[in-house]
Amino acid sequence: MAAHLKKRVYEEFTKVVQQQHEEIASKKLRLTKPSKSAALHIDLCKATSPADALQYLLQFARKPVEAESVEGVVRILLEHYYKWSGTDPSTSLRYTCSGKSKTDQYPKYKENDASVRLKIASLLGLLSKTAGFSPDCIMDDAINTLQNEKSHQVLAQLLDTLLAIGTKLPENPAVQARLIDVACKHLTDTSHGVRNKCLQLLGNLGSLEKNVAKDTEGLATKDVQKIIGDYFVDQDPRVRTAAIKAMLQLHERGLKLHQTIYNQACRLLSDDYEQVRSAAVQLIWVLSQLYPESIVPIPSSNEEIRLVDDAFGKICHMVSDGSWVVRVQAAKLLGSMGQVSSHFLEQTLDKKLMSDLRRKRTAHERAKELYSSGEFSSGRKWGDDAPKEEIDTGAVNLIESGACGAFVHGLEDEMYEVRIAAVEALCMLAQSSPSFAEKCLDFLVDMFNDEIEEVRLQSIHTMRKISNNITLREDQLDTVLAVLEDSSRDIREALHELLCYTNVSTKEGIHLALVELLKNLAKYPTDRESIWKCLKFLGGRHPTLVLPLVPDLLSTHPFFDTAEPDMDDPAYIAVLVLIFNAAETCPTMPALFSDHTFRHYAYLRDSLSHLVPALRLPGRKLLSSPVSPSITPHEDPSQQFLQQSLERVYNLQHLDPQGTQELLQFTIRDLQRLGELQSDLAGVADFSATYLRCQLLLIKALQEKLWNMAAPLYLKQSDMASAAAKQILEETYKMEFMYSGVESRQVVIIHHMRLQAKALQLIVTARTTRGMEPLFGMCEKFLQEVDLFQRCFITELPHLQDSFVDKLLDLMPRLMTSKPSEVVKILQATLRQSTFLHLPLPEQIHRATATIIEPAGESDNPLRFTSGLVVALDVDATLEHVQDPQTIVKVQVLYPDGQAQIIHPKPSDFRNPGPGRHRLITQVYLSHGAWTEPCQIEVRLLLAYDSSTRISRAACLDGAEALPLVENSIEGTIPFSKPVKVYIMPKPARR
Amino acid sequence: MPEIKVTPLGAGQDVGRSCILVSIAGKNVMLDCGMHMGYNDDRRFPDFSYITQNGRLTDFLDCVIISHFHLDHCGALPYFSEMVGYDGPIYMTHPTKAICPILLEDYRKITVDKKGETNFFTSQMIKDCMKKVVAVHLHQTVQVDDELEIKAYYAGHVLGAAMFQIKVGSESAVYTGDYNMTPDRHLGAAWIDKCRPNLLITESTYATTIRDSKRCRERDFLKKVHETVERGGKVLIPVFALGRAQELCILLETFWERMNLKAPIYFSTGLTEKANHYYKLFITWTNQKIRKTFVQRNMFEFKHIKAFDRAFADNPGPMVVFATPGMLHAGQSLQIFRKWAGNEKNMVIMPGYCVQGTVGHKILSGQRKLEMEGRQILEVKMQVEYMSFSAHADAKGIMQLVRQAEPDNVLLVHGEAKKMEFLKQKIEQEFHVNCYMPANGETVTLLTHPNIPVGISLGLLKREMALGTVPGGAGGQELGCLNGGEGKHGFWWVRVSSFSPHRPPSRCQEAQADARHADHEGQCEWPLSWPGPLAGWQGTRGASGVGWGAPPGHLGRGWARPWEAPPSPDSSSPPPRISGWCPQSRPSRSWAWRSTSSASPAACTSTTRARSRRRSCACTAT
Repeated sequence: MAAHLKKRVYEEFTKVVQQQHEEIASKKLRLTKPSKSAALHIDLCKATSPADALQYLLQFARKPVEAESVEGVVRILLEHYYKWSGTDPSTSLRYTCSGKSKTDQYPKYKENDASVRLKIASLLGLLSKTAGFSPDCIMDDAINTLQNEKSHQVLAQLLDTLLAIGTKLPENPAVQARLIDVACKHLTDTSHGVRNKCLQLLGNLGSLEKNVAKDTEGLATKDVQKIIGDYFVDQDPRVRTAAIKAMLQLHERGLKLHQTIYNQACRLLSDDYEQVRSAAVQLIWVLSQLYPESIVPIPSSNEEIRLVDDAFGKICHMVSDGSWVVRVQAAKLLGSMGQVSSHFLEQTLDKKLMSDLRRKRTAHERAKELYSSGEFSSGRKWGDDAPKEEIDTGAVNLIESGACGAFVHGLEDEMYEVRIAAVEALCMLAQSSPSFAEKCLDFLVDMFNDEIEEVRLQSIHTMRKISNNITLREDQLDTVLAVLEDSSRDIREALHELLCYTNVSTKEGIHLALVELLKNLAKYPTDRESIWKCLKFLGGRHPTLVLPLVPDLLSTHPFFDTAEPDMDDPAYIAVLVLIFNAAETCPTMPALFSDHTFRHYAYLRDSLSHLVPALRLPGRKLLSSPVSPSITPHEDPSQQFLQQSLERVYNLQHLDPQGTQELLQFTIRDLQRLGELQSDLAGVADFSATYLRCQLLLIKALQEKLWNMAAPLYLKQSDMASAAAKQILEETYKMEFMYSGVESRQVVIIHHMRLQAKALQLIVTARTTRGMEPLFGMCEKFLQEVDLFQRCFITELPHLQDSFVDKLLDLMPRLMTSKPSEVVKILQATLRQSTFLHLPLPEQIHRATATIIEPAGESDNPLRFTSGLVVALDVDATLEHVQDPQTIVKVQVLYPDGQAQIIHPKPSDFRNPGPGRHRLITQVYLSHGAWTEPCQIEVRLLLAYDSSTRISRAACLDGAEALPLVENSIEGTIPFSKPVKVYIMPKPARR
Repeated sequence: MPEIKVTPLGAGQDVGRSCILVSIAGKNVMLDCGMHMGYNDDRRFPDFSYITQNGRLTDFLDCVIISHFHLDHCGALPYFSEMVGYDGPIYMTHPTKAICPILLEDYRKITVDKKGETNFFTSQMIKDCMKKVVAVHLHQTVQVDDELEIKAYYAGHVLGAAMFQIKVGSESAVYTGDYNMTPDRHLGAAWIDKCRPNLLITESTYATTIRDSKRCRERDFLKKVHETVERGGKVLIPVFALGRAQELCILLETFWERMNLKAPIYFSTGLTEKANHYYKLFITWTNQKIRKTFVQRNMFEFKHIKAFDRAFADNPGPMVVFATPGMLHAGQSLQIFRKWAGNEKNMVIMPGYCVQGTVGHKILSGQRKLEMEGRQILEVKMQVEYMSFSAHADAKGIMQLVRQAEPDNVLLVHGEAKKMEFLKQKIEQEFHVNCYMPANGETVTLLTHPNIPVGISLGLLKREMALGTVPGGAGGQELGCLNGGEGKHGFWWVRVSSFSPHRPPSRCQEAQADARHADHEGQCEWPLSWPGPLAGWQGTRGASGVGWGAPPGHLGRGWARPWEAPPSPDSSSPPPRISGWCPQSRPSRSWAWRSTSSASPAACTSTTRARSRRRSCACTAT
């Protein structure tokens, strides 16, 4: 209703404006209409000085204008424009040269009017951008004004307006040609601002095909590229930049740039101004992508090279530019030049060292040599880096023309922005070229020690991305592992992630990695999970390298029994994880295990099943038969079991109530157990179980005796029914918001269930409360909801044959007119008769889960702090299958006095280590009044939901009109992690 | 002919005792005033009698510029100003001004108190000398007098090191001092804009070296220290008190922080504490990381590094100690070394070069048995490591700086002759500019082509433009025949700066002066806008409160500047002087130029220019 009203108001309003527009010529009428444009007109007429007028215009600019009234406003503005500029629209052409005679009428404003005109011009531009307004009608005026304008600033602003108009009319070649004409005319203006705008106009509107202009009214063909190209050598750097940008704009719009521009662009690389150079680098990159294979000559020699190689060399040269903005730009672009030949690519990592004119080897080369000579980790000797052979002085080229050492420079740059850009570029290039990946490894490893954490992190991530192409040498591994002691958790975890994907070449490497990881574990015990996971992959990837290490790692002795290690030692578990994962593909390994190892295996397989794989052990039955991947989901027995049990339930129409309840109970139990056993089916099983539980609750509630008794007697029992209704509501919210992958078909069913619960609530309320007054409101609301349901899920209704809502909709006309008591009766009947809806299962469904890793809740030492002050509690949790956790995940703190606080973590507290996984590392501030003794508080994670979001999304998908859902949206929270107890003790403040 | 004369009094084909006299457009400037570490006689200071035999130097020098606080760049300053006598201004950056007296005092103490020399400058002299110092900010244009202006650029190397641009009219020279083109842990890289000086005087310590990436060095260093500390060993790092020491401190401090290490790090006290204090203060002179994080925590407020006490050396357990002096020849570092040398778990890391004869040099060359005073034999069991941390630009860095500044001539100082030869050849070959490498006392004379301002009526200029003789700004250089004459005489070719294509002369200062001038005349709109504050000098403009003085000798009304004709084949006659002002026509106070050797006059007088002059703004009469 509200919407309807609004619409009507809107229509009326627009009508008024249109009328005003028709009678635009008559001033009198305008004055009588209380429209915006009229108000503006009055204001502007009142204005006695330019400052006043400017004020009015500024005020006007703050309010939005409807599309229909734009033209009127534009007219008024233009009229005033002429007033302020001293010419009249009608006579503008005649008065171009002798504007003085007119300006004499407004002698006061003669000097300052440029600012007013400027504002008007900018307003014109703004207005022509209004949605729904077609600006072609004001174009002529704008162009006319342009011709008479003398102030450069206003000219530039007017050209900007034309640009706005032109971009609004992309399909009109005549307009475009005309605007281009105007732009060309003003290109010779002496002001850089005007030239800038002209170039911008050309770039945005220049015709993409040459013959278009010919067809329309025989306008002379303008080669936009040539015109813009001429301004590459403009005297003003801003104009040069604008010219290059215009060229880039043309490229973006799909025009193929000429190759001839390349030489011009190359010359711009040595420009004095950084923004010109920066734009030129971009232009060169674009051209290198357009003409990678064409051949360009090398100046001062007869040789020729491919254009992309030449461009690559030039951009590499810019990596040592004087301005860091250009350096960042150049370093970034290098990464996307995949077509460059490998010869040039490898030069970027080359830096010929010399000392006193003798050739010297780089530290990288020395390390490699040391390694290949088998003399790893020898102490450095004095003169170890002594220079070797003499260098021919003539051959040394200190300023290389090519790509030499570009990355060496980029990675050593002063600004971390440049270093990050260089690392990113390295990553992209290495992904496309394995040989380059191998070569850049040394440099990436070096970046692990950068002083800025961001750079370190970036290089670790980069290394992980290219890890398929590389195998780490032992000395490199050594450097990588040294970073494991970093105090930043992000760095360490990124490194663990990297190690998961790394290929190690020797068994010593594996040993080294294990030792370092254990050291890490000892130093930072919280890294436990991450380290175990890392070792799992390390073992799985290198079974043959682990094999010779096994006796050593397990410290077994050929003759003597050794002491049994402590099973709860995280370090021992780490070693076992490595070994067991290696043993999965290495059948000879279990022979080396001692007895207790087997026992420990059984224990770990059960307790840490995600880390320990099932092994084929001699003489032992497999704990669970591994599901070979060849079995399709339909043949999978557990999947079948799930399907069968669900089908059984859905067929239970005709069982007696008692039997139904029992069957439901058993099925729910089965499903829950299945979910525990089969992690990949957990989502589906849980989801179905929840649905069945709702159904069970509904049936139970309807079986209640209260329905048969007289009203006054069952006040007490009704608790049970209303509680059931409440619980069903909760469960439906859980179903809707806690699972990822829920499709609209499930949403309908869930909403249907919710509707039933609401009906139940209504009935219970009707039976338990005396008096009709509250019922009126409730009935009204319920009917609204049914209506809403119908509108939201109109497309799904055919699937809901015979259901509660189906029947309800049939009865809708009757319900609308009848009294609440009637409604309740009808509802009760329908609820009882309606059938159980089949819940179709989606392809993939996952339940959102959260595990709080920290605080662990084991500490007996209370966290002491002075009451009234705050204490920060570190919270670390992993979230799985949560979409968009930044907005919906909250932390709840429950104090013993029942006080509850909900804390919104910062978006930056969430990290995304993998698809579907999130990590929340945040600090929660606690505070409370003084307590006499320590007590426990509870910390848990909540999922916040807002019921309107999903419905409106569904509505949008169905193409239904947007609904006014605001009053129906229900916001709530679902706890989705186990609560953790934290022992705290606020001490009274000492005076 | 206008010329620039350069005479190194020290640092010519040599390292140490930096002192270079530059005479530019009649202004005499002395760059640096250092001492030589290698000598203990008169040769340790530059020979100021070169400037004048008798009397004070004030009359002969317009100003003195000190590039940074190292003693080979400022060690002779009190001697020069107080004992020889100079009262003019001495320019240096703020950190240099702060740290310089500490080092001078230290130097004085060692020479007078320890070596017992007399006739040396006193503490009071140092103080008096420092009173004559004028501190400058980075990128601040300081007007020394009406014509001479100087400007400092960041040079890396040590805290407060700067490169200086000296400018008189349109002639300019840049002196780099010592600089570093690769950033390190506490300082950034040297940077200069495209100022296109007539002369670039650059150091060339590592003229023949291209260095490896600093990351490998750092990593090696950290790894060594870390391993030793983990083993429970002690690490001794002998350092000089300033410069590298701070870099290593930052390096270790951040590493300790990152790796959560607990072993103590000590720094031998004394000089260092004062110096560290200044490092804390001048945080804007450090590198990006330190500058950005100082709000949370000033990196020089070390968490893990504590002051050293003699007694700590005997403490058990691992520790890292920085001790002076750097070559293990005396003092605390030697004492600690003697204590720790016997244990193979310990390690000594030499972060720099050691002079022959010192203990440092001996152990680096592999000697394991040292004879100490008193016939004691010290057996060195500890590990000895060498790490080179140097803060000079290598050959590539020097080339990079030359490329950035785009000078017309390059002059090499502060390096060995043999190495300079190589670099000189490279510079000439790759940039096609003249390169000089005078020895001490040798004078190099360069011809310059300064712009000579010539008056032209703005109206005329505008009219010419309106006639379209200036083609659209694009590529238009010649304004054409202003007075209409086609004859050979009285034919004016005008190159107007603001119309020149995209090579504004030295950051458009002329152009701006032009524009400003036009404004003075009440012309609201100068027909062609001059390029606004952009790119490189955007920041500098704000910083320079003093800058932008109108060039000397401007002639009142709107004016353009004349310039000599590009050398015509038969230009044997000198170009005529057009206006009353000419660099040489003013009375110049020149010192007695002792020509010790002919500084390749042929090269100097040659006017051939391989590169086309980008400088614009000229007017020629043929």
